Amino acid sequence: MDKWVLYSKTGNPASDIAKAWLKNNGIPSENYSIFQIKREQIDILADLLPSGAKDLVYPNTFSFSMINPQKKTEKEYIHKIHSGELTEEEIRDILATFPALVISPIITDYKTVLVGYDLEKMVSTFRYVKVKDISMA
Amino acid sequence: MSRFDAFREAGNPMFNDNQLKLGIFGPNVSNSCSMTLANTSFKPDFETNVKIAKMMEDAGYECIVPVARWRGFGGASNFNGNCMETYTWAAAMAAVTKKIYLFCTSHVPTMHPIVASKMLSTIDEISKGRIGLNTVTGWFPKEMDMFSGKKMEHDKGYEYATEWMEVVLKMWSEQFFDYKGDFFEIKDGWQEPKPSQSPRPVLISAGTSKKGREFSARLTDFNFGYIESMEHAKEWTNHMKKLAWDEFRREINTFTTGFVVCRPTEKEAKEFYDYYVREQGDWEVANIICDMFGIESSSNSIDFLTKARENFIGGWGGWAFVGTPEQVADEMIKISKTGISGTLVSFLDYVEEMPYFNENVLPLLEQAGVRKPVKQEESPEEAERISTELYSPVQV
Amino acid sequence: MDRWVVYAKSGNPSSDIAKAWLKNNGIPFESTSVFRLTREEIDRLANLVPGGVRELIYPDVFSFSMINPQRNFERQYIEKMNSGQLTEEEIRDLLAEVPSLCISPIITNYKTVIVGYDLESMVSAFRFVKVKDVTMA
Repeated sequence: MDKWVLYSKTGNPASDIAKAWLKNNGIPSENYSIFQIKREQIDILADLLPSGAKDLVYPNTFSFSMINPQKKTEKEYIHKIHSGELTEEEIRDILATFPALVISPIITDYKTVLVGYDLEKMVSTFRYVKVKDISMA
Repeated sequence: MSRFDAFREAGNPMFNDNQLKLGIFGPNVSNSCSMTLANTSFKPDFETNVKIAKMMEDAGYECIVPVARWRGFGGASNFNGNCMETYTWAAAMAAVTKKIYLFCTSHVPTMHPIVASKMLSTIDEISKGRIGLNTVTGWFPKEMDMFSGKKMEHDKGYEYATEWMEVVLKMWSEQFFDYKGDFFEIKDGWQEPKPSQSPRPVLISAGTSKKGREFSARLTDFNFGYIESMEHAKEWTNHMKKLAWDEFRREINTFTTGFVVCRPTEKEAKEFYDYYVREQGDWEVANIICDMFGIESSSNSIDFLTKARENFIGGWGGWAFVGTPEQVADEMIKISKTGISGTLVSFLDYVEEMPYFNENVLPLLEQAGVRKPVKQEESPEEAERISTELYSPVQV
Repeated sequence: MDRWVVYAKSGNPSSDIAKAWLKNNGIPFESTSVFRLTREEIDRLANLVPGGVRELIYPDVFSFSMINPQRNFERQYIEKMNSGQLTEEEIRDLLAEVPSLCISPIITNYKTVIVGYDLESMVSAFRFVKVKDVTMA
C-alpha cells in the first residue's frame, strides 16, 4: 500500500482544496503542516524536481504575500532564491529554516511529488493507488 | 376510475389536495445538491437522513427522492461520491417513518427488473404502501463504464428502459406470464408479494429529451424537469399532459426541483449565496458537469456560462429560491400556478436551514391556499412518551 | 463619519487577516463579497488608484490560482489583461462580469483605496478615522 503525505497550510485555498480532493476521493493521506517539513525531506523532494529546490518556492513575493500576508522576514529570500545568487545547498538550508517559503500544498509519496494544486495531475497520479490492504493472510 | 383517482382514493401523498407538493432531493449523497466546499453539518448518513425525514413529516412534506450515484463526479468535493444505495436506503427509511412517500432511484442497466420489482414489493410491505420508483437510464459515462457495459446510446437506453419497466409492471400485476423483448426474455414469470398499495407504486422519471418525455408519458405518473421560466413551466406541463393523452390515453403530472437559501433579509440570503456558491463553490465539478451537458464555452456568453455554473453549484441546476420567506414563498406560489404539481427542494445544510424554511415559508404557502395546514395528530405512543417524560418522578 | 467597505473572499488569507485587523482595531466596516462588485464601483475604485484598473487585478496566473485554485476558466483573462491587449474600458467591463479576477481584500471609503493586505497602509489610512459620531445635535 502506498503512503501519501500532504504538506499544507491551513487557510491557503489551494491547500484546502487539495486536502478536500484527497478526502472526498477516498485517498488516505498523512497530513502535516508545511512548517513541519525538515531538511531531510526537502532534500528528497528537491531531488525529484527538474530545477531542484527552486521549484518548491513561491515564484514571486506577491503570491507569497497573498498566502502569508503577515510574514515579512521571509519575503527578501524569494527574490534571492530565484535570482541565481544562491547555491542549491544554500536554498535548501534557507527552506529548512523558513518553511513558509515552500509552496503548499505538496503531495508526495517520496517517489513522485506534486507542488501546488493541479486537478489533472492529481487525477492521473492517483489513477491506480491502493487505499486499503485486504490481502493479508 | 382513472389511475390518478385510484391513487387519490388510496390516500397517496403524491396525489393529496395540496396544489404545491414539496419534497427534497438527494439527502443520501454527499453534498446533496450543492457543489461546494462551504462548511456544512450535512452528512449523507442514516442518522442525518432520519432526522431530516422527521422534520419533514412534522411539517407535512410529501416525498423524498434520493439520488442514485455509483461514483463521484471528481473535483475537490468529488460531488456525490459518497452515496447510500437507494433501495436499501428506502427500506430502512420506510421502517422509521410514518407518512412521507419515499422513492428508490434505479439505474435500469444496473439491475434486473425482477430483482427491482421484488425489492420494491418488499419495501412496499415495510412502508405500508409508501414506496415509489424513479427510473434513470444512466447518463454519466464513467459510472456506467464500471458496470462493464458502455453507457447505452441515448435512444437505445430508453428502449431498454421501456422493456425493463414493462417487466416490472407485469411482475406487479400478473402471475405466470411470458415476456419476450429485444433485451429481456422472461419465462413463466411469477412474484409474491405483489405491492400492497393501490393501484401500484408511483412511477417517476426525469427525461427531457424527446425519447425521455415519451417514456415518461407512456409509463410514469410524474415527469420531473428543470424550469427556465414560468412560461416554460406552463408550456412543459401542457406539452406533457397533451403528449400522454394524445399518444397513450393516460394522465401525467409534472414536478420540478430547486434550491433554497432563505434568510430574514434579502441581504443575508444573497451574502450566503455568495459564500457557498461564488466563493466556496467547487467550480471544477461545475465545469465537468457543464461539459457533460454540452454547455460549451465557445458558443455562450461569459454571463450565461457563469449563471449556468452557479445554478449547478447552488443546487443541481434547479430553480433558485434565494431571499426572504416572502420572496421564496412568492416564487413557489408562482410555480404552483403554472400547473406543476410541486417542487423538490435542497438545502446546503438541511438540519440547520430547513427549520427556518418550515416555520416561515410554509405558513405563507398555507395562507396563499397552495398547501393545507398539517393536522397535528398525536399518536398514542407519542402521548404515552410525553406523559411519561412529564410525570415520571426524577431519578436521583 | 467615514463608511468603510471591505470587498473580501472567504478563505483568502489576506482577506481574512485584513478583516481581523479592522475588527480588532475597532474600525467599523461593511464587509461584502468581492463577487458583489458592480461596474459602477469598479469605475470609482479604478479612478482612485494611479495605475487604473490594472492595479485591481492579480498580476500573474500563479497568484490568481493560489487564491482561486479551481477557476481554470478565468485564468486566460489574467494574461490577456496584463499583456496590454485590452483597453482600460474593456478591462473594467470584464471585471464587472468576472469579479474573481479582482485582488481581495479591497478596502475603501471611496476616497482612498487599499488593494491587498498591507499593514503599513492600513495603519496610516486609519490613523485619524472617526469611528463613532458623537456630534449630532
